[in-house]
Amino acid sequence: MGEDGVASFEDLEPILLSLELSAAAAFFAGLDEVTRRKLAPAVRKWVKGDNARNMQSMMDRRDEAPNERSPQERNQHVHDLVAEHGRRSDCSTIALLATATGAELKKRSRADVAGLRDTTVVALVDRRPDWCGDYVDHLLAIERESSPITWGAVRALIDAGLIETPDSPGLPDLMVRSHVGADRDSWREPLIGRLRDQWQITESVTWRIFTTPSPSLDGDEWRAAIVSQTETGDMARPRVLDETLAALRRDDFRPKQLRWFLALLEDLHPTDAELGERERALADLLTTDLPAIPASAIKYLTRLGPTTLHDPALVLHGLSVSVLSKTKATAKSSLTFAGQILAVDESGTDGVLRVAVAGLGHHDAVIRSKAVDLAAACLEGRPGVFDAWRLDLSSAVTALPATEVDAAFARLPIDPGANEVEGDTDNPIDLSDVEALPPDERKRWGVDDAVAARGTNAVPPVVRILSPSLNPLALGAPVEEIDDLSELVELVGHALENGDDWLATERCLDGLSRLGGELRSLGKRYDALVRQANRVINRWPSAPSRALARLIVREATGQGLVGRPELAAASGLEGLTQGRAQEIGYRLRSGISSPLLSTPSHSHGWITPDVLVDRIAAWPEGTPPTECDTLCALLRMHAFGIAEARQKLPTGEENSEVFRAVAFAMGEDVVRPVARPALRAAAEDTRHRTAEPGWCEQAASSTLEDARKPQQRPSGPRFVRVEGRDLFAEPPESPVVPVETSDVKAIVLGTRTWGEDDQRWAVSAAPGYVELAALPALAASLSYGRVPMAVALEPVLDPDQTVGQVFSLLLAIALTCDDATTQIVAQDSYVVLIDDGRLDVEQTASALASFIAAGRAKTNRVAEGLKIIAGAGDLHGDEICRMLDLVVANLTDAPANAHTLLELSHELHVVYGRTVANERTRSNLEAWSSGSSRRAKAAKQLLAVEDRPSLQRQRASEARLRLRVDRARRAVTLG
Amino acid sequence: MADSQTTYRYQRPSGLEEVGDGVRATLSTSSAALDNPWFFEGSVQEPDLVAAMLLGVARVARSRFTLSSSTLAAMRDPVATANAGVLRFESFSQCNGVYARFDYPLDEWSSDLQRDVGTTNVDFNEEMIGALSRVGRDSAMILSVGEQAVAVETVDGEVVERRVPLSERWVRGFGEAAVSISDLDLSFEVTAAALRSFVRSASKRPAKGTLFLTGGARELRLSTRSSNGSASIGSPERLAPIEPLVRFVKRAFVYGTSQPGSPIVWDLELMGGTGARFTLALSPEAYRGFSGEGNVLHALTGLPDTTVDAVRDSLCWQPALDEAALASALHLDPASVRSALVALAAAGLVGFDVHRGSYFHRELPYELEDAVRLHPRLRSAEKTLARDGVVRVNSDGAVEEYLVGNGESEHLVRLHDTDASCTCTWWFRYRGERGPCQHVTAARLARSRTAATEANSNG
Repeated sequence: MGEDGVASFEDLEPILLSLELSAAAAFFAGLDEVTRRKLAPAVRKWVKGDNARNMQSMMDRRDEAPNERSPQERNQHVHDLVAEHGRRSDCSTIALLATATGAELKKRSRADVAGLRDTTVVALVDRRPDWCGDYVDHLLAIERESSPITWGAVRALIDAGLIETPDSPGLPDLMVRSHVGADRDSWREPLIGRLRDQWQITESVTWRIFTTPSPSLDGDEWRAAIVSQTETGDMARPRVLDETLAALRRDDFRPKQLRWFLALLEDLHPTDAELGERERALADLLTTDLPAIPASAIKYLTRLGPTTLHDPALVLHGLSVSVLSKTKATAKSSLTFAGQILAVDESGTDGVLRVAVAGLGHHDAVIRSKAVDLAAACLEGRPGVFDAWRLDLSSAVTALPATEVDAAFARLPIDPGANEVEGDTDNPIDLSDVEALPPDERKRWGVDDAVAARGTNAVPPVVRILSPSLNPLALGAPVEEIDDLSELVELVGHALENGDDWLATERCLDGLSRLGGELRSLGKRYDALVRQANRVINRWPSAPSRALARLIVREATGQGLVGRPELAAASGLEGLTQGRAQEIGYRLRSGISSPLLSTPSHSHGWITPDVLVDRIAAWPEGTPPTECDTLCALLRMHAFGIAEARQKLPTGEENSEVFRAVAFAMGEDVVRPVARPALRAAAEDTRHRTAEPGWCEQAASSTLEDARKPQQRPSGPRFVRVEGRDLFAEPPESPVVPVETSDVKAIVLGTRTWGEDDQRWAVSAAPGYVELAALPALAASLSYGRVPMAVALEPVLDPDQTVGQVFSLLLAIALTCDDATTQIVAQDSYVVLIDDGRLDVEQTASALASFIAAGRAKTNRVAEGLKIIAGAGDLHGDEICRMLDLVVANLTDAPANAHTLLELSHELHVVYGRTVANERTRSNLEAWSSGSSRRAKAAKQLLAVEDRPSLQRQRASEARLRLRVDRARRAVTLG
Repeated sequence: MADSQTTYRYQRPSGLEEVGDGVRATLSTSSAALDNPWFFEGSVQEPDLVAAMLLGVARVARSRFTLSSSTLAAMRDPVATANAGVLRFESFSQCNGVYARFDYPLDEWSSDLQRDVGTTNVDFNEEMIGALSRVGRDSAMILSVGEQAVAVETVDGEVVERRVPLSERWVRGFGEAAVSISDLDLSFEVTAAALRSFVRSASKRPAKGTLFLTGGARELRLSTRSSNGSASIGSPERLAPIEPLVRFVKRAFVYGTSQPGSPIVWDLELMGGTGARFTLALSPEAYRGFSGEGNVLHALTGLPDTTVDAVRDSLCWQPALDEAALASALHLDPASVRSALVALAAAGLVGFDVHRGSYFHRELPYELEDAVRLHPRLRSAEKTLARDGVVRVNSDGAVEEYLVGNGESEHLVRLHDTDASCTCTWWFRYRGERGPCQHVTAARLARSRTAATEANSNG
């Protein structure tokens, strides 16, 4: 007490520091409200500071002399620290609870809330504030891993007459977890004993477990306690049964909680009489979502038997929902029980038929087949029933997969004519239009082959399109340069905020190189741009965005390189781009405005040779182009029109290293060789581009080699062998490879692509190496399994991108990976490849079979993905049908779940009227067809399919021809 | 800024009680200004369907699809509107990115059952949710929406006052959701089986990024590519709340556009003969709540108050507002009526029904003037105008240029007839996709006020 006998904070502080909880509680005992409120500000301030001190002190002392202690001693040390932390925290809480108002306490954050624990509740019991109940409700509503209130504290408040049993939904869960599991308040006493000791409180809360979401409800202790209470009569058994069945209908309960109630129902061992009285409740369970619940309801109803049902119509309604269960067993038992009802109750035929028709829409073929059987049983000898259901049945049967329709017609009295597909192919191609195409284009794009295959069972050979670096169609749309300062400012603002728009960033770099000297004239608008660039730098942007933002900031602040930037300092494509930006800054400070050589002239990242020559010609006299810029330009140079452009190369520049590099890349025989290795490598690479780069196949085969050895998955970084050299294929672990000492492939593979924006840009920075840029994603996915590959696959969507083995493998692994987005991109890619005739079915089937055989791809997931692709159109289905044959042909042993592939293949073969023609496929199928497994059955069915006319196959053939004609026309249009 | 709220009080909690062979569901409301004690009272057809749909609306109100808890609204109780002949229950998810509505037509029934029209919050407490879960197919169910005489309950001592805040995020969300879904076209009509299969797979393995719904009536699939007839969809796992409802669906209609970053609406035609429908609208992405979209700002910055007032005066609880008829009756052009409805939507005074393709009347405790307070960008724009921060620098026929600044920095705003651009970060980031920035809003306000002043001085 202070000198005046009034409690002061000076008296309190040493008590709080002593960590004596009882002393802290004693300090406040009997204090009047006025005194408490006077202490409140100082307590609040102290607690705020103590929280920080407490945490820091614990962290500092945690590692005290660790080496001198045994592990046990270290554990004890940490344990003591935590206990001390808890006591200190409890002391603070007692002080808060004893002085603050309810409103003040409720304002505290979830992390700093003044909790009511067994050790701190004494503060309120003594103080007896009228806001106790409100505060308890507040604490019970807080969602956090460790509850800020304990069951003991709630009990203490109830026992003290301060609150009634709270009706907060959080109370039952608090009671549940306080008595079992990690938060239990005693490990010695069994639960049932503790419940009975406090039954006057726990009884009502225990009943609330049945009606309140309780995430902690788990394990068998609580179930045993409730069963025990029903046995003693403390809980009325009929009510427990009713509440359990009602709880099972709750769609706001988590599956774990629902399963707990299912187990409780089992533990209660309901008698037939009890179940019979609850037939309605059981019927209502049939419509619930968690498959185990309707399964359990069917089990109990089956136990009662169909003859004892009071309301079969209600049960049948429920079965028409449960038959669509995700779980096959539940669906199957629904059909079985409906069949049993049919056998004993003629009046229930309509209801049973409803169950059967619903079952025809199930995702599993076995269930659909059983649904057909049930429908047939309903209709047998009941023509009147059929008349009423004719339409529903017809539409359900025609919606069945093609492989099941015939069997359904055979079993049901429906007119098969309803299923015949009428009509002709959509807009058949006029052959006179085809003949109007130049013969060489017709041949080049496989049009003649497709015409020859029209109307036959044959499929024309796949068309090989030119490598993008040689194919003028791959250039994309021309890119416009920025005209004025206003446009530059707007585009820079856009590019800084949209890191995925790499083309805008590239155009901005060019705009700044030409117009950047005038930026300062914009005044406050320029200031706003600089602030924006600073913000972008601080949020880890992509490499080109970072280069752009730094250029803006450095130009504004005058910071930057004093001297000319050096190519030798750069590494990877991102280093080259940073170098380009520095070169621009250097020139601007020197008062030189010039176009960038390396800005793409076309939207896919390419620069046409004529544009490059024009840019060199426009370069300010006496100032040679810079090296990073030139190297980037060479990486982007396309072969289209190179001979004509070479003629326009300016003369008299032979002393310039970069000029010689460009000239050499264009095919000139330069007298003095290019000295800088990187420039020389890029120039040679551009000069010697070929249609079929060998590195792609080599890289893919070395990767595949590893994939075939599932036992030898590397744990460290993966190397990929390209042209006799091991290159890193995992950027995070790859070392910095200076551009100056690298070849072009090392520059591409040495690029650190941290994010998706970086990946997209890297592809555009070396458009001739798109597939190489995808290699790290493939290698990483094989090394670590879950690697997002979506961005790496994006180039495949470009209709002029060739798909080599790297992309084939990447697509195959992406189709079956865990990441849903990557799967979708892979499906899209296959759909597009089929759409525009680029899919090499043999190559793809080989990749898929390799991964299936190596256990890298799950068969059912392959089937699932291929089914989605096949559903995209007639041509897609036909191509997947052919692909599946080749996948089977490439598999020597039947993989697990092979039936999923075979069933899909069977369905497609039936739809497209194709027999299995491939000898290796047939041989494998014959080997797999022995026995009675689902695989054997599917193999036999597949082998039995015969060639027959098919409208879908005809449409696929037309589509195949149409896409080739379209591509040839496009080539003709572009000249 | 913290989200301010309007507090409702319920006179007693909603509940479900056994009545003879069936149950009576009493949905307690907050409105004290009704002529009758309830909007509606009567036995419902398809009780299990109605209970499931009410639970669906409540489930959306309690869902959240983003991790951020700092912006969670305390609002969890659906809003009920009794239009003439239709009872509607609406809610938003806690993240405001999912909007749900259950429409229950009353046309088929005795008109005596509908006692009043109006809008109110409905108490959906835990007990009510638990009780609705128990409603089975053969339970006769009487639904009462409203409150019985307060005095009686008071005498019994059973009056319960539960404070339920109506979040301003909800009000903004009502406006933005209505406006953003009003431009969508019908993309797909799908079977219940296709819907079931899609919702199951979308909920099971969430896919990220810009996605499009493609396929046909019998099969839907996700794609990363936009194509003719596809519909943009963000975070499709947000369809999970309708999974338990699919068993009641006869067929579904999907409204959307192939433009990336568009909302999507799932209009579910329900079984039974009641004509009931359930609507679920998803904002463009899980992290984009409807309330932050800003699409209503166009209408709030360019329309004379008299037009909006005239349209507002015509609202009388119509279940569907016929824009052409309104235009004809008010001697306005249809575009002005449409803009006025958007402005009214901003204050939550009308909603949009994609199935009918029309707005419907709703009343929230907000006035049109409150819209300025509700929209932060509009507030900022007013402040900029107040300190003369908007200067017109150029007017070149179709394009007007304004410098809009706050003293430290300024941005160039270009206003075209319907389009605009700005040099601020917000604009660069969203390009108007999420409504105009505060600078464009300020410039538009300046332009419309100048025009109004000129019109006044001319005549």
